[in-house]
Amino acid sequence: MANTDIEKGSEHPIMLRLKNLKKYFPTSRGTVKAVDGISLNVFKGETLALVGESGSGKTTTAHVILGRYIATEGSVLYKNIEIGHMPLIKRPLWLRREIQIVFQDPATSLNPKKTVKDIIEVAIKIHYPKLSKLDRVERLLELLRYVGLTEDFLFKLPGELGGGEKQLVALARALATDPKFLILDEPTSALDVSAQSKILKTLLNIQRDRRLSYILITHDLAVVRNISHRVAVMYLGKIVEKAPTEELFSNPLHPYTRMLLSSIPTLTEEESKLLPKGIESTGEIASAINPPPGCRFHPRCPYAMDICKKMEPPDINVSKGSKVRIVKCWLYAEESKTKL
Amino acid sequence: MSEASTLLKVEDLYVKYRSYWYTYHVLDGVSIRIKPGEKVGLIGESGAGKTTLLKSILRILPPQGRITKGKILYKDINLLRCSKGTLLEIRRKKVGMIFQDPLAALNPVFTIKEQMVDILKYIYKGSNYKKSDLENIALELLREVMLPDPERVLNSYPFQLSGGMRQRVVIAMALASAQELLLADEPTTNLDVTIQAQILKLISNLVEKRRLSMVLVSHALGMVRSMTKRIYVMYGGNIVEEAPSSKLFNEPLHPYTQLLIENAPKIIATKLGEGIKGNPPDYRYPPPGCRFHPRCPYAMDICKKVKPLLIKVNNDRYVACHLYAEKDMIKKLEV
Amino acid sequence: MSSKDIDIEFILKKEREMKRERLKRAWFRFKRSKLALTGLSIFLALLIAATFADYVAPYPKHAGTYVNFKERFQPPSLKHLFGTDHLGRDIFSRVIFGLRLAFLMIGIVISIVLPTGTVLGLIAGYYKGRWIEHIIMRLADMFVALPPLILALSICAILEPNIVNAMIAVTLMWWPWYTRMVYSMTSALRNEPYVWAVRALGMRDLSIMFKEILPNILGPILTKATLDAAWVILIGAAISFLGLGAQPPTPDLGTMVSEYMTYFPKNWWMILGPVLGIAIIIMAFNLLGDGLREVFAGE
Repeated sequence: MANTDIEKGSEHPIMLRLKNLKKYFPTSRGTVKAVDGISLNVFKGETLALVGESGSGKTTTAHVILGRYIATEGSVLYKNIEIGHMPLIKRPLWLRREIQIVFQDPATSLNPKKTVKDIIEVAIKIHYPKLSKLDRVERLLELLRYVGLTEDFLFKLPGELGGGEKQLVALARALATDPKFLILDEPTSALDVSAQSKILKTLLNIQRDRRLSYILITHDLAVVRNISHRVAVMYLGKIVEKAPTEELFSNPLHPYTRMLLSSIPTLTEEESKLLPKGIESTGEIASAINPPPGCRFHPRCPYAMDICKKMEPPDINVSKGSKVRIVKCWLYAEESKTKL
Repeated sequence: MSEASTLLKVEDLYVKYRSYWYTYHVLDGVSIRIKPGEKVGLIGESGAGKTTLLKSILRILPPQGRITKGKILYKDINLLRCSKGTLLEIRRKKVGMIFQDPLAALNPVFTIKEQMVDILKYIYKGSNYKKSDLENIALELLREVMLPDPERVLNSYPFQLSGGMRQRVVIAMALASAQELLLADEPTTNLDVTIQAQILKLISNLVEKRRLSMVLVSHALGMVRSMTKRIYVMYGGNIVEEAPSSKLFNEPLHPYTQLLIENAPKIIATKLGEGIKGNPPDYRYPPPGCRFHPRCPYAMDICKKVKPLLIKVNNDRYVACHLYAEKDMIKKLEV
Repeated sequence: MSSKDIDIEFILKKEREMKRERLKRAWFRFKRSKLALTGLSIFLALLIAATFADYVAPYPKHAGTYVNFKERFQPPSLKHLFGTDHLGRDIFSRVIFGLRLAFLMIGIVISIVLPTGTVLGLIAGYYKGRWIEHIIMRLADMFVALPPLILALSICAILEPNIVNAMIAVTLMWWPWYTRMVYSMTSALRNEPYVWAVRALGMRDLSIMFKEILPNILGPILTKATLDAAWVILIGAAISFLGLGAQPPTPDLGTMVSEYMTYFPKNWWMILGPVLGIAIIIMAFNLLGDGLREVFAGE
């Protein structure tokens, strides 16, 4: 059923693998099925974007990988080690060093009472306890310069920095441990336009220099287009489409993906031409407590058929050549060889 | 353009905020004008003074904010001089405002019905509408914003509604008092892109149907482009550029606008911009001359001393930048 | 290597400068409130007077078991600012020694209550939902449920009525309030992204509590402690007034009020001294607390 075997064909080793990952939250009104069986791989040195509306389960997925929540079912394999059932505090130090996170809002992800130096130094102290004070400061300065800040920032408090600068400090802190895998949880959505591109550019440079793997959680498709290699589109706890970024934008398959793309406000005519036509955003994402039966997107889908209301569509492999594409939609069932 | 064809005109407006020990010089001589039925956009990053401008127009600045200079003309009424009654009348009947955060704009402990009837009571003060009439008006308004099952919504509390539905309710409330002008302050922040598209379409339809004028304030450039005919670009409490929406994005004139557009992430694969160096101005000590000069790649000596005025460079293009003033001067000299 | 050394020296110097700068700014914020400044001056004056009571008080011997029947019941005069009492002791001197006792009491109570309450609150708040939270918070609830004065009185009544037991009583009734305050603030902060960020870095729970969360709640805690100091005095005075605290001839302000009440209203000035003493020390702490609140709010 899962098509992970095809994805394996890449020359890059798999850093992170989610297999049928589920995360449920019991509430008084019923079980919230925030993430309901998703599978994906992140390879070394690549960026995988996890896209969807709020309520699609993308942030929950990120926090399961981080270890803030433990998986209800399924597995999270980091370098083939099961970590999905290991809460953050049980994780060994090397694992915490390798998986780092950059949060959405730098205003809350930096301790308001700590100077930039303290914030970054903590990371170095924990992971490189043998370094002398001198080497620590040396390393700290190196990190600051690496993300494009100067030593003038060392003793500033987060409140004295601009939004973009704060996010750069958060980035420097995450890099201080020399991580291999970065979770980027909406890294630019709290920032102004003028600060966004600087952050994205820095992220690209870091990846190029250090061959980091990123999982990028975002709802901003323009950000996805600019920095990710592959995209997984989530809707109500399920991945509905997986594709290389270029393919996804040039030829979106799943109706939900097309709806997302058609909703992007564009800056130029040139851009508008690239967006899918003939589909319009309607309805709102349903509650994850009682997701619609069959395909979860069918109440909003203009192409919904009878079967969509009854049966959940399988993951359909529509790959061409080496480009792996998977879409979870009955519309493509006929073309598929892996029909259920 | 004659006076008569202007619905709203803001002239050389200065607004300052005072805290215990600082004065924040926010609006620094802002002038805008809106014709009847016109849709105008106001773009700029957070802290550029967009919301302050809107609030000044309705005279709903917080107590520490003060208009120190300037004129706000609504038709022929000077809103800074007129009587309280006239001002209330305009707020009630003529101008409606959609506030930024739909959750903050709705009171969590009252149902939508109670809140809407409250506002309608205020709007229709003096007329002898009964409570049931007002409820009907509320219901009608909710229908107008295309809320599914408006009766249920009317009896709900804000937390029982999704973000998109709340924003529709807020729009309905603004519509109640907007008979001529709608001020929309970031109407889709915090909403998902799909819901954003729906809300924008709704606002455009309503504005069209009711023949309203609109000022749309946002930092989402693409959104403003699709919704308006003319755009003002704000930076640091100044209008730095004014242009038709169709031209601004293809050919931005002001260095700030250029950088802003260059740096906005696009869905066409282009090279990412470098960002704009530095931070927005500190309103306590705004830079002298052009407020953008510390961040401007083309800054000249004059920019540090003299504040550039908004000058006409073309038929319908205006820009406040010494680069263009000089070109103009040179042209004149050559002639 | 040498360039490195210069580098770090320079940076450390800059760090010290920045710290000084922040203190300066905090002082600036404090200073701008005239009332807070008044509070601080009164506080310092009282503290100095209390510390050097032996030198400041005109008749240091009068603090104890001194008797001089010739001078009893003197109304206020230049010689005896607050007059003399039924044993002929100078009330002004006794009030100054009373202040010393009050400061001592505040010092001891706060230095026990503040750390205990804060640590318990941090632990309970950080581990919200675990058994340790329930143990700490239910225990705190138990103490909070009892009316404070009655609790203190019963403790003093069961144990021997003296100043130490009065302090124990005040301490016991006070810690839960700190615990509850710290608890609620900690449980709100423990899921802040910056806490998750350092957790992801591998910081230990105890370090997170004390190094990341505590600095963010220290302001309100200190403000509350200052404002509460006034209450400690008041409760202490109340216990003493009811005869369950310090016993005569200890120059405790509350005990003095209770002693001198016997001669009210005929020799009304006798209670004036100790009452003024209580009032002024409470005022000083309250003004100081307001000033501190201003300092922390401005950050």
